[in-house]
Amino acid sequence: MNSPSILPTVKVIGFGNAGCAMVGRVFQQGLLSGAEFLVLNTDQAALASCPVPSQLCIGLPVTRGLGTGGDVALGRSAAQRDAAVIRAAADARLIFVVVGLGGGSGTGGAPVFARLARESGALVLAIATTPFEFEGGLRRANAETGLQELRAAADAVIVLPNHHLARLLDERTPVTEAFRVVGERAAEAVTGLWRMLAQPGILPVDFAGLERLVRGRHAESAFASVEISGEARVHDAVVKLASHPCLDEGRALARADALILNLAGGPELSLAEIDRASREIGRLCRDNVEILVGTSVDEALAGRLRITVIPAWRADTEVPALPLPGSASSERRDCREPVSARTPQRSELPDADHLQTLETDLTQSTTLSLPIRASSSRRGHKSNHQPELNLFPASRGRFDNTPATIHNNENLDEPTFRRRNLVLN
Amino acid sequence: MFDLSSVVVGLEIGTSKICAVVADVAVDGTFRVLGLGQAESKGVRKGEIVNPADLPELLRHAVKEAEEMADVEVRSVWLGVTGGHIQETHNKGFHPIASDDREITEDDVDDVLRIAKTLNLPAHNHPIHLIRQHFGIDGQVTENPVRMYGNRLEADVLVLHGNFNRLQGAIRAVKSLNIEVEDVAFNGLASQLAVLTAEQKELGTLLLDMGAGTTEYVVTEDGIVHHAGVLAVGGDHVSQDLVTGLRIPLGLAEQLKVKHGSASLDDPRLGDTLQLPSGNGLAPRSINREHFHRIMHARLEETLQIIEQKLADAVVLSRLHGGVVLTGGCSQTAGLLQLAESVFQLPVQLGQIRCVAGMNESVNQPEFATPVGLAKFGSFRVQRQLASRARFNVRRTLTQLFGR
Repeated sequence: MNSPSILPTVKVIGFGNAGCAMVGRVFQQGLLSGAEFLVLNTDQAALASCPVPSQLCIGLPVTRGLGTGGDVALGRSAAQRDAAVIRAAADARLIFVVVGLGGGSGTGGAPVFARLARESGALVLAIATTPFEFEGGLRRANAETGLQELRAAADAVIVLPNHHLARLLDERTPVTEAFRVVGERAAEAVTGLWRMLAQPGILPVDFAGLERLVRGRHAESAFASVEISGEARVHDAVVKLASHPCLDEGRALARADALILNLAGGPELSLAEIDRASREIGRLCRDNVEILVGTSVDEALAGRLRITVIPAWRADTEVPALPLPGSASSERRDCREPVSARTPQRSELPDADHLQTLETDLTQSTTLSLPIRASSSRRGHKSNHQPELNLFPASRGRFDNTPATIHNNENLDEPTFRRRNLVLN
Repeated sequence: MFDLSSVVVGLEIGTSKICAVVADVAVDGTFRVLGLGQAESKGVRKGEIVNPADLPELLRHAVKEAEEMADVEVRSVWLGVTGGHIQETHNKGFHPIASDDREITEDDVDDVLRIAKTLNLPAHNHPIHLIRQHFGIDGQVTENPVRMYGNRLEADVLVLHGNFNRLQGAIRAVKSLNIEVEDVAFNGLASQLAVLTAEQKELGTLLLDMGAGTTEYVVTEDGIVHHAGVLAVGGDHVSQDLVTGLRIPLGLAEQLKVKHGSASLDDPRLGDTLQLPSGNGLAPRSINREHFHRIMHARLEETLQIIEQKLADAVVLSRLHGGVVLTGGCSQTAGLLQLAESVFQLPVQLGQIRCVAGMNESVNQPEFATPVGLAKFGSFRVQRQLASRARFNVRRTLTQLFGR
């Protein structure tokens, strides 16, 4: 259904445990003919259970093939040690890096991979999931810093926050089911992008268009896809998108400065429908938004319409709402906002700076031994220091002037329902 | 001729109330509550005094009320202490038996206990209770080793200790009223004395005293206290959670909690709304009953779970055939028994204050378990003194008779 001539070489890379699982799923679906798959991990056991045939176990000398145990620094150094292997693997025009942020291998390794791949000329699109809230503060903080690094390293990052997903799921959903849905959504993002690029359509979204949209922007994206049939299918689909939790109830559309819109339908798809869909979705966005419309016809979709939107915005204009913005993100926001408010070109500058410092950081840590790495991380710590905005009221109510009751690193004076994230609406 | 009964007073400076219980104890151990005095507490948080300014007045009020009811003058009290700083430590002492025939004497027992009691407490910590667990002779556990044979005697003790300065706060407040403090006792141990029957102590029971500021837990097995501790979370936390969650003032939160509160999540009234009384210029509001229950349920469940986790490492909970006994003001929350049953997987009951003659009706409230237990704690020592005084008196009478 697609000819390889339309596309340059494409690689789908899974990084870390979650990334391997997600890419394994895409691979098994078998929809992406023509793409090459590769999974990288530090954990040999996890690799062995992955169906993708080409696998790379990285960082063997540091992890002995046993994984990183959630240590981001270890994941990073594992990837850096095998930089040569990674560079050799990154020989494609377009690379999808699929990673579940929050752990060690993916969070530490994927930014290194993205940077190396980008250096060798590939367009790097990262598809990253961020942890559920219940996975704990550490993983969330790891994911936040990992995301910052990934943004600096990749051409575009599509973030799929799992906590948005939690709202979609029923309360009684088993946890295995939840992770399965996470994997499916990431797979959907990869296949959706692929479909847009590869399927012959009336108005194809071509690779050059995608490249123009994301290259050099350090863009950040969300992803949502709806499939609807019936009489007023265009209208229904737009209404559904406008309230889609993955798009922050449509807020992601409102702040996008570029939008990829793909409509796929059966042979009956009419021009009027395409026109109405793009106009109605355009109305949800800002005035000067750049919309890249693609349409394709798929026999399998007879009678149904599938709309996929990828709104992208510059990562520095607004940081999407992760549950708890870590110190790194607030620092980022603080140093960017005044600059980006003036001119868009100027806003590019700090990014380059950031990349520069990141790169020097990385080269230092590859070439020098452990104690020096510790010093570089201390430097990182110092630069991260930022007085925190006190979001909670200063008064602790009845517990003013009392020592806090701490149990297992939790302050028990904080309301339980808040710590357990019980929803009261 | 012989004064064979004596007055003991238990005083608890709690987070929600100050309570004094006057009782008298006879030489045969009969314990009778004579009077009870209460005052609303101020400046106490999580079982510890944070602002002593208003305390003397309130203490005086509570003691005076108890004095008037019992018609005695209170000169000294047995004072209860609690707080998150109180911890337990288990310690072991060893003593080689030196005598030729390897028979264990009273002196050996004293020695081994002395050794077991010397332990490295954190600086500033002061022991409150030393509770003998059991003896061992060459690894064999025994209750009473005197006149048994062996090479090496061991003794286990449970030490409850707390920060010296924080313990002093309550003692100073009482002493400032010219009332002597006979001794201090841990509130959890006191409640256990008031509430548990001898049978429950023998079978193995977990006592939970859920007060306003703290929750004390005591595990008793084979008649001996094996574990005791305190979690500085109590009814105040429930109220404070309601304040944050429902955005209502603290006073109203407390009223609602007492009147409508429940820890149950399968209540048929969950869909209802609760009408809040309007007043103080507040517009009339209604709150969702489900949120109200959810907030309370989350806090109470978490509190019980933390205690369960703390104990699970040290105690086989399923072996506590006496189950769980709840006491303290917070234990009256509707649905708490069922919640505790599901957390501990043990039968749960509300504690009744036992072995109290006199004023049974008015005293038999879970929130009085601690002060009654404190008086009871004092009564044991007073009773021993009475008994020795009685012996001494009898001897003196006899010598007077025959020496004549």
